[in-house]
Amino acid sequence: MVMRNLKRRKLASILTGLSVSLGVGLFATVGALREASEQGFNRSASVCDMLVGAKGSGLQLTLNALYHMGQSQGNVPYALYEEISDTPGVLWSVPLAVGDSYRGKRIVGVTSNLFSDVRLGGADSTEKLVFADGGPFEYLRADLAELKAELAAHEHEDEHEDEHEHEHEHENEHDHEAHVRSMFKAVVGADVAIETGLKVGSHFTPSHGVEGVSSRHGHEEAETEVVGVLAPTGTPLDRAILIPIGAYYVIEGHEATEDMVEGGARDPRGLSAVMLSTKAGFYRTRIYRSLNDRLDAQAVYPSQEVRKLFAIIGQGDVILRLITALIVVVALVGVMVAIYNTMGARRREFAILRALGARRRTILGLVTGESAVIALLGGMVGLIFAGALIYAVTDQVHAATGVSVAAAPGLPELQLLVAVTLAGAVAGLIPALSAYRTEAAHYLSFNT
Amino acid sequence: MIHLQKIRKSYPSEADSGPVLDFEDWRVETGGQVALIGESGSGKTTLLNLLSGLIQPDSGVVSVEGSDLAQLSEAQRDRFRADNIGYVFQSFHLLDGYSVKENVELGAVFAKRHAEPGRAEHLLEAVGLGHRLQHTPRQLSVGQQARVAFARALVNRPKLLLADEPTGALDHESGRQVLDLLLSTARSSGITVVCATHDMDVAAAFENTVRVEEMQ
Repeated sequence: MVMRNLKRRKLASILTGLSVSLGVGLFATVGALREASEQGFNRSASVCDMLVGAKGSGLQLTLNALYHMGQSQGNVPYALYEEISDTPGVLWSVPLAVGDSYRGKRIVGVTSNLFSDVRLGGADSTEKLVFADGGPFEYLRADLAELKAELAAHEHEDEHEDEHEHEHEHENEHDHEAHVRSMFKAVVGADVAIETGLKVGSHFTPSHGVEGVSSRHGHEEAETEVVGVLAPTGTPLDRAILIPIGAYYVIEGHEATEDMVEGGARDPRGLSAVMLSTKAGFYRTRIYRSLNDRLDAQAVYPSQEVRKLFAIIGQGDVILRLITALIVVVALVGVMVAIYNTMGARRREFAILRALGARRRTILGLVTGESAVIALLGGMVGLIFAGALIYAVTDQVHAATGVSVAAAPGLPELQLLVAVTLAGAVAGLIPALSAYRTEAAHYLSFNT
Repeated sequence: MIHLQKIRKSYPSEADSGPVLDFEDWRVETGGQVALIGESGSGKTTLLNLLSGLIQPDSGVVSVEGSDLAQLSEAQRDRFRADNIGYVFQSFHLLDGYSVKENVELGAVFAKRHAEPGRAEHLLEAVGLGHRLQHTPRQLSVGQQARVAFARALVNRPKLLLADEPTGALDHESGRQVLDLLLSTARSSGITVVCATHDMDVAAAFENTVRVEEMQ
């Protein structure tokens, strides 16, 4: 009977239902997007327990190192990486060097233990990085140490060039170039593969600088071969090009110049950041404190930084949710008014039903039911609308941050639907009480 | 059987003019057919409302088929009405958003026992509207609407049929047909009929005629 009554007033029912769906859609979109974004950001932040980088903003360090956003605050000395890698309690460490890009995708120098050590979803997760094609390159901490020693020796030789014998020079140069060329290998993220067309066996030339600050200068000498393509991770790794960190140091333009202080923040021989996984509890706290006591570096917990970010965003989010909640309330008031306006014309109908034996509470239920069904159907359409909206925005968020936001409805959306339906029933109470009070005998037009 | 005793009914808005109904005793045997006649405002409809349980007397006993409606709660009276009483109104009061068949079925929706399957169709066949089941009331003539209202009143197999000017909106011939149908069906089913009318021709078709003013 409720559905029949709504069908009789099709246009009014559809319009009021649509107003509810608009409010519910916006409310659900804002809520789900925030929730999903936070989960997505947390998933990305949980690839390591701690990040070590130059002094400055912890959030900027996190965004730059893990999300490939914004500018680096400077470098930390290479020696620090060696030092903390040997610190008791450190399970694994991956040095990061950023500064180059290819077609807007950031190139990140890493050691290859990243592919085996990183767990997506946190240390307790078993979700490893998976290759969609090809495999990882091999470049471990020992290789980096060896290269660093070579580079240091080379610089030393340059200083005392006139004292050296020239006969071995060409032979050494040849060996060095072959060694360097073997380092120009890359593993690309899933999005990079799709957007740039890079696949296993492809070659590309990195550009100096990252998006927004990249120069037109290309590192022609550093033509790099793609050896692996990662499967999608739902993290910013999807948008990164990973190369052996050693390759970064031998690319032209990354050498040290005389005005740079060794180990200083502008020293290109340093590291942009170091990802750490540590034993939990005492060790983690001790490592964190000892690093933050240093003058040349800071340690941050990425998950905490992301929480801080969402605490800041949360202020605006609350206001936005209040506004959208208000839209839902206004829409429900609209439902109430629409139904109330029909009461005058429907009193005869209620009187007939009462004469046929309907109880007052049946009439009450009929009208609140109509209101609740409008709210329910409007809410359902609203959630579909929200799903589409979230899906559309998800692509933009992913494009900007690499974070995948799931658009699938869950328990919160179900709870919202129940709440809106109940609120709809409550909104229907005012016209329903008016209907409830209808005196059947008065409206049956008996002529006493 | 209907038995009304020491009935007094007045309306607050008409308190100055005294009670609308004030009489000692009135009864109708089961299966009886009574026409209530009287001037406008004489209390015919008030009496029908009392018998249906839609209103309560200020005092007195309203016994219908052994139940004193004056002692029942409103919800109990609603259920009693759904189970035992059929209505035919002057303007028929069919619901526009429902088909002819659905309108008839509404007569048993609120009863304890719903009408058996096919009951509505059977009644509509009996009143000559078997071919108009899915039509809406607006698609019917006034005479056809009267027959739908009559079928609705019978669908829950009532013990008491109340009718308020059932032929008032019909021409003489149509009115005669509807009235004959109503009375013959009631007679064959043993249904008690109380009908308010100001038409003496209609009243003449009933076994008994009661002038409401004379009950007082």
